[in-house]
Amino acid sequence: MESQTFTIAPDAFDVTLLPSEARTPGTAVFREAVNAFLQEAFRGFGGRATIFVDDRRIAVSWNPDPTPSDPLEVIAGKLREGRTAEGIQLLQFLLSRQPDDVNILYNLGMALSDAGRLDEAVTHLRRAVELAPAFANGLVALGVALSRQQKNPEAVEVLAAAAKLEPDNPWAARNLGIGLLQLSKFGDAATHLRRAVILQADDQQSWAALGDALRLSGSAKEAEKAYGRAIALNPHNDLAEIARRGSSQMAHTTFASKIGGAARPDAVQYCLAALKTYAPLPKAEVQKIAFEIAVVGREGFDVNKAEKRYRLKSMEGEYTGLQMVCYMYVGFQIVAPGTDIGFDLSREYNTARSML
Amino acid sequence: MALSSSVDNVLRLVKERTGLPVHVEPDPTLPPHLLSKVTMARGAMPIHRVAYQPNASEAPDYLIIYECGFILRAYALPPEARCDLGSTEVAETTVRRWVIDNPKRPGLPPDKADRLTSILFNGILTQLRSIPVGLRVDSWIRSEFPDLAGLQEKAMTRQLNDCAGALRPDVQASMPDGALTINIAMSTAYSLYWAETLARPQIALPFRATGHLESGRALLDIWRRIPDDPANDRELTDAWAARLGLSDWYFWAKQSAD
Repeated sequence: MESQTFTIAPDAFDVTLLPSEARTPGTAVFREAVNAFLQEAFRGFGGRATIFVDDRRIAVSWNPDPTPSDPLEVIAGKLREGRTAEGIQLLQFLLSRQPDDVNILYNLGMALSDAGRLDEAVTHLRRAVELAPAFANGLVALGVALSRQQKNPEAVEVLAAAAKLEPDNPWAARNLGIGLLQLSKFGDAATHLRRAVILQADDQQSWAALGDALRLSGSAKEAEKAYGRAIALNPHNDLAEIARRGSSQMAHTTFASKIGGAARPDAVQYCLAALKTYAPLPKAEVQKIAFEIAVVGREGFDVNKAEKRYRLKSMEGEYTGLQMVCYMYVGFQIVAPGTDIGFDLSREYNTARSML
Repeated sequence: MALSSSVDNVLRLVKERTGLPVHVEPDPTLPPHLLSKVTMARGAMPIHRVAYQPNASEAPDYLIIYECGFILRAYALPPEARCDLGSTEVAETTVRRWVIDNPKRPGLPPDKADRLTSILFNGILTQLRSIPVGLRVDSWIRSEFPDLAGLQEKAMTRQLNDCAGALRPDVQASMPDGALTINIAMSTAYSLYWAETLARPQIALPFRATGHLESGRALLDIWRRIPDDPANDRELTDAWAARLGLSDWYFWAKQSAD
């Protein structure tokens, strides 16, 4: 393979391509930035690039691999690394040459969708499924992009077509379930999400969405299990937080339903105890206790089982889940009034305050 | 060196379409930057002549087919529609003014100024004549002769390295800006075409690094907008010329029989 070579003058270099602090030719930081820019341009494309930068010239020689990598693989690698803008640009390069290539349309559509460029994404994905109507993953990607555009009825229609084409496609099942959830069709959503977790048992998003679908369709026990599974798969990410919130809402609903909307006496008593405990303490101390409770309750407090007990470092004794939530609620109202802890105890709190 | 069956097929095709044979020969007198050249039959020369740079390490197959592509496009039109591009006085006068007023090389002796003027305006018109239509030919070769892809890419790289010469510090420090701007815009369009075709953005890197992508992109957009039909080749060339401010640098002359 022939080498591509070129030499340019440092002051001819387009400095807008460089960080703002490195735009003065003749400085070390300029030379380093030019070098880094050029190295980056060749990274991931195989072959060998030789780059020379001094104050008089910038010289580049590139020997591509005789058997170049599949461009789509290279681009997929860049997208996986989070280099979305570059990946999109390269896919657009490819598409200009092969405008009817379904793989390119699909990959570009997904990348644009992930980048939030939804109108462009939908255009490319519609074209992909028009060219290949039986391409289930293309339909799934289109459905997801439509859903991101808030066009949920059409998204569900497209995702249902994907699931019909490939009943064992976990992405079709999951996204159809999520789409139905957004349309408040909780029972149907649960059906597809159950299928999704069978097809892909380690998919945290499916488990979290299944928890929501079950909770909202009234299957509390099964929902709790689904949330638990979602949290266990990765306790430290956003999906786990969503599952925790769902679980907490469920506990709250159960809690509220037991008293038909009135202030619950035991919770009032716990709030009152918390107010008395916190009264002599400085705010910083209250905050420390409230935060510790929040950390202990990261996986959710079981407010409906009095036999379950929790311990804190900052307060002696053992506490029920409901006690913990009450102490946390009151603590946050003192430290940062109005904070939503995901569990509404305002009636109990106000009643307790009026009793002081 | 034996020529491939693709070359044989194309030479036969040219003979069928034009009624005249193609004479192919190596020509070591071609300027180094000119990889090949075609002279179409006319008058006392009842053959087409394709000359190429002899290179012991590389087969000339791609270069021969590339030049035949120009013949085939020209002969796709009826005789009365075949035209050659000739230069007007405006081209020479404009470039001479650039050369004389060039602050980078003041006081150039008249003989040197004459020579440089001639090199520059002829060079620009050669680019205008060959790059837009040449990309049509390259596009045809790429789709019809996949066996030539390797040779085509080698020739492209040599061409590209030659194009990037306009960015060299010594060239930038001596040539008139007007000529450089036009030359680089066309070279950038050429590099962008190949960067996109081969999905290798590095091909356009010299022009990207020097901030020239926009002018090349505009030309390539024109190239893509005009349908690929030999009947549109004049329109394509005119559209590039208009974009580059060269409309009054040339005229179209009907191809004469002699």
